[in-house]
Amino acid sequence: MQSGASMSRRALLQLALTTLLPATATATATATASTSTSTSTSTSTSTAMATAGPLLPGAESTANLYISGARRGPDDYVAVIFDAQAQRIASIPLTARAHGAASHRASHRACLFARRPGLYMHTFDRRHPENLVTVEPVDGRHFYGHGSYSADGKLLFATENDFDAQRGVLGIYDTAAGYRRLGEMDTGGSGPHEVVRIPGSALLVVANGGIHTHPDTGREKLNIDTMEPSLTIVDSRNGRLLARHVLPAELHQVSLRHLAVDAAGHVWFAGQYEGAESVIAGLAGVMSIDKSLRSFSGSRSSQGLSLVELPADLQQRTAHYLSSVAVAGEHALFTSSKGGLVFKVDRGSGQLLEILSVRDCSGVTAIPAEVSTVEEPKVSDSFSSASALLTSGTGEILALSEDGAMSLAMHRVQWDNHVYAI
Amino acid sequence: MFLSHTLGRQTELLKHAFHACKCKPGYSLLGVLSVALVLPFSGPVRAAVPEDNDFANRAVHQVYQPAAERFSQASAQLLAAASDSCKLRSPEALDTLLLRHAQAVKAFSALELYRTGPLLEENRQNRLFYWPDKRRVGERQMRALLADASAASLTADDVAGKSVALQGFPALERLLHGKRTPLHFSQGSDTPDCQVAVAIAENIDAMATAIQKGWQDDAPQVMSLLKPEPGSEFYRIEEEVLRSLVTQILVGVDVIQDRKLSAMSGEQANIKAAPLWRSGQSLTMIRSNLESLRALSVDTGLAAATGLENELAFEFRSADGMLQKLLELPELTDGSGEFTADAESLLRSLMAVVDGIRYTLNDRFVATLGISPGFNSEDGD
Repeated sequence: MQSGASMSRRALLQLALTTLLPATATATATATASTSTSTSTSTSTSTAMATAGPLLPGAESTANLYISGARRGPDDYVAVIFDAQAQRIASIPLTARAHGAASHRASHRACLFARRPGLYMHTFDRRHPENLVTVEPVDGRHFYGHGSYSADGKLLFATENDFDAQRGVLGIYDTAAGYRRLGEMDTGGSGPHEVVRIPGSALLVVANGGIHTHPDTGREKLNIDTMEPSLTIVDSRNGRLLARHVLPAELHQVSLRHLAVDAAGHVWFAGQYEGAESVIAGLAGVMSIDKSLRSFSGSRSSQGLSLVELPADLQQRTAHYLSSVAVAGEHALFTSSKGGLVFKVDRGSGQLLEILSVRDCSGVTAIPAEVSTVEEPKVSDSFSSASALLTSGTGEILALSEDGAMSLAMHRVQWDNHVYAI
Repeated sequence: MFLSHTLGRQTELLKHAFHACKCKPGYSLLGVLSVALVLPFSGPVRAAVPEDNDFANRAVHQVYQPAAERFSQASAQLLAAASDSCKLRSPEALDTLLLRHAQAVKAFSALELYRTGPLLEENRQNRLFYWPDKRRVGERQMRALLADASAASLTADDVAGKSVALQGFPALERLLHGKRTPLHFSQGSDTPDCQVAVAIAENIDAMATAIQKGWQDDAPQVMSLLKPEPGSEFYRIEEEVLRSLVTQILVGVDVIQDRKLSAMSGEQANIKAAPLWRSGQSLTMIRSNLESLRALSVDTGLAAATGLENELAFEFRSADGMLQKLLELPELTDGSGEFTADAESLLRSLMAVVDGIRYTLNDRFVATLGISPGFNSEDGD
């Protein structure tokens, strides 16, 4: 006979594994009720949706497009869409500095998030990025810079701050209804930053940075001494917390911030250390979804989190600050803008393979496999092995391949934190 | 490798074999120190932007235009020498071609790091100099091209439509510095190497001409550089011009140090990891690169405006002196391409000097100009 507790765990595991099966067409937004969730968000359209212009060149469903926020000049921010040759094909003026983006290729839906404390989310059709619909946060919330679409593209989940309760939430938006806010669910931590969905499932993984902020104090970090970052898995269909990792006490000041999912469904994470130690572990690691779900008991998972061992000199060189992470083939790629570098880790062994210096580099994204061979004949033969793109605050866009980092273009903008294939 | 890590009540031990990192971080203690010392300059530093937009004027007329003119002339001479060599098929004509190739490489290297404007249009930078090429893409593609019956009638337009690895100096170097080059460029040779070399040289010349034209005063980007205006697609305010100049200098030093010199450093370093090693022009190229950055930082008046003219001039002169010594060494490498002890020592010293230049630029130069060296590094999320 199994104990009640064991049965409960098994039932939970069964539920979780069900979610790993191909997601059903719709994820019903039966999130936990909360304040101010059911009201529709304030929206404004920068240009009329109905007057969609000609199709963006190269925006066919299989084409490879990328988006990144950028700074053009003092208080002058834009979102730039560029092609596989790193050539700009659209530039969208923004009211404030942008951060992350999300896309759903099949439905052409995409959105761009303001940098925290974010006061906008620009949504658009990737074929007509000039037609933005701006969604503002509801009262008592601000965006945290990242989001993720449901498998069918009907819902968008955005990391948000319930700043009075110092609670992280995922805002749920109905994409077909002008991104009307349907509700929200708890992220299982505070200061949520990036959220990713495990492909083929309704599981959302959230990096809860653990840092409290409040709009009254801007970007000031209010709880560095007591911060408690975590990685959580949330069932997007019902808001249930299915797994939760908290770093050991000595690593509690490593703010877990950015995520990337690999082909095996493992989630790689990159952190930023807020403490004063000269050497600290835990800046990078990987979470096994399966083990994390299976070992979840009470409020924590006891298995499934592994840290990547980085040499002390590399940790110091990064200033304990990792900017972004991406998965490209067999490698996990981590950038550090403060260190001016990108390093490559073997996904299987966790072995550090290579460090490349690239000034102020931050954005990194894998080149989607189905379009990794670019059509342009002048470039294709030589860059077809490139697995990822890098962007830098210098304006440079680079291709990462076995040859190293090769400059593709130098733009007259400063690329912001992240770049995404859309 | 993964760290074993205690989580909750249970310890999860992942037994991945430890493998020593194969990477070569390629930075010295001085470099680390530079980073550490730069960090306190977090947050945008402004207000000190000099009002003298003559920087741009001097950059255009004393730096960019002369460099582009020299490259254009050298490329035209390279093309002429390639054509002559193909007609004459004599050892003397081949010698002249090799000389013109070296001169064109030097002229290209003098503007390679001016990563703005015409060099970046139509992907010219990568088309002129596709490097590094660890996978030997260029070698494989050149072999396939030479085996193609149509190679003998290859035109510059054909080359311009091919892979970047076949279009520029590394491709031409393969043809001109192979073991069988004298044979392929001699009378009676039935290989298409000579015709392919002419087509590549013509392609290089076409790009050099376009770059030279793109730096003339009436080119839209140059007009904007000299007189930034709101609404311009190029430069709207003088700070953007200044940022562009400074970025070229900073990134240029990074390219020299982190990509080119680092490729020649560390244990088992080999000249074959360096650019254009076949023709023995690796160091000449770097020397020309450094001189181009000296010109952009000193001849434009930027260094003087920051009070660093003498310091930077001295540091660039020191680096140049070390490169001169390296070039004068009786033996740079042994038979396998590994550097001699003297060369290794000089290369280490050179890297320390370039690190010093980088420190000067990253620290006081940008701070005084009011251009923050980083964007994400200063205020990420």
